[in-house]
Amino acid sequence: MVVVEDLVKAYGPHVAVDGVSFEVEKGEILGFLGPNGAGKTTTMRVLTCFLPATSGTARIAGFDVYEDSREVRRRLGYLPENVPLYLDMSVDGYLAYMGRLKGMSGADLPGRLEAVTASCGLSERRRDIIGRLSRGFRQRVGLAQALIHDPDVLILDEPTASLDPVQIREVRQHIKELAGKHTVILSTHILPEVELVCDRVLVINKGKIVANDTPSNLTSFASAGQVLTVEARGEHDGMVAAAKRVDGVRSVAAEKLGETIEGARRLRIEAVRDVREDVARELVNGGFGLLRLEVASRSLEDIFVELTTEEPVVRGETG
Amino acid sequence: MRNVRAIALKELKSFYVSALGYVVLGCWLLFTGMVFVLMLGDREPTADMEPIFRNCTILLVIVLPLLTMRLLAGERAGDQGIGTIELLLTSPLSEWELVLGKFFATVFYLLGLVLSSLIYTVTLKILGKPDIGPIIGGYVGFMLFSSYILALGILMSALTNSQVVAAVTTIVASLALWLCNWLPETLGKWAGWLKWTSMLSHHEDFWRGVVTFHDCLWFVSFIFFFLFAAKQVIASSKWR
Repeated sequence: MVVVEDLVKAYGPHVAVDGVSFEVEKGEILGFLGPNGAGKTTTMRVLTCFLPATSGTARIAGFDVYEDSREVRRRLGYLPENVPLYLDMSVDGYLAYMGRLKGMSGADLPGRLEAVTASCGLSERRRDIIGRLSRGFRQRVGLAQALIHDPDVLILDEPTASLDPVQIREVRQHIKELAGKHTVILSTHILPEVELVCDRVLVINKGKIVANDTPSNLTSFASAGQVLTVEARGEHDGMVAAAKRVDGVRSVAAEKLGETIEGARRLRIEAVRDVREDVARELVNGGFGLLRLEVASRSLEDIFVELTTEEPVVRGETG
Repeated sequence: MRNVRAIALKELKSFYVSALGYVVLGCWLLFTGMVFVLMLGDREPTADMEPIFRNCTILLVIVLPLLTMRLLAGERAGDQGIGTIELLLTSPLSEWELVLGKFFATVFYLLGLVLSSLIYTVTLKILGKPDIGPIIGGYVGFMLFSSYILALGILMSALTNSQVVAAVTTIVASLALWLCNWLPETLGKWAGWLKWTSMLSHHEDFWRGVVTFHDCLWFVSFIFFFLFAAKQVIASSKWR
């Protein structure tokens, strides 16, 4: 449904999105996870035809976002991060206006208004002026706006930002219900959110995709994983075997470390727990000369530490 | 065209939801009413509306930019100069439809001013025998002159994120374009083109009931130019 190939977006010398490629299947919920400034919003703005890409292509339902922009926009529902609304309009007035701009006919509107306001919990507020609604209700109006024309693809930029925990749960529940019928791309910087809502998650950092997997795979690796870089002197097979003896080590890869120190090798050790002390002990006891040992600088875990923010856990919230 | 109608209707409504629409209408009626009363009190009152049309131009220059300042600048109020415009530009409508929708909303608002001022025409008709030609010409001139200010205002509103800046620049630009009518008298013949640039020199004939194709074309051309420029400014956000 959504195909993005080698997308680059630069603002002058600053590259906000740097060669991003991914696909989203029909009916799938894709989570975009990344810290602020990672390029999530920029990618979404390219997909919604708000910004042109510097290079690369993006296609939605087979239409190119640049060449067939109008066809793409017809099929899109978009909730921008700051939830832009006309504060002087009523909920119904606003939704009807957006519906018309999305190409809906006057005859279809009343039915859709009824359905969308009901599904977004706005039935009681349809005549209220948006400016008088609370933050949570405004968010729902924004979501209703994105849904009004029953779009194929929904793009939601941080749909749960600045909501209270109960509202967050409602919005997440609502998004999950949309799956299957709509293809959803949502962005967030909250790790548990993708676990609860998304079928698949893209981790994006500094404009690049650093992971593309199911939430459970990513979280299990991220919560316990460690990558060590070890330099030691000695015979190859013995060294690898020594490292592998340590409980929790998942894989060991060794390479020769140039000619400066005779017999020195660099090991890359992936482990499911903190194995630094055990690896050091095992190597020293095995008679190998330990030269250096450090946690590899950009493991997935580091990225996740940067990505994930604490949030209050809502009691009873489960997948 | 459906999109133009939807936008125009929405903006027209919002003039009357906020106080702005009523304030401008009130100013208009107060000002024209006072001119009308003064006119009737003349020693030799004439049954025409020329004093109203002539005097109200200054009011239009000051008040109409207040209608247009919000139209595009207001859509960009918010984070990084991106507000509701993000919704509009990600909807399946063109920049032309957006700009024309906004423009037609203000033009329809103007029709309200015209209708409300028909009370003077009717009064004149009852009290005397007004020459209807100059009155029709005056109204045509009023619509063209006002549309010119509104189109200019929409362009200024497209150029800035600040509504105040949009209003001030529109007023200043309008006054400058007006005053340059007299500049050739001081600067000499070489500056004659400045008179042509001024909307006043194209406006005056209408009050005498002289509606020429040349003057109409002049106004329509500039209105089109301002709106086209506004459309280009909106579209240019996609090139950056």
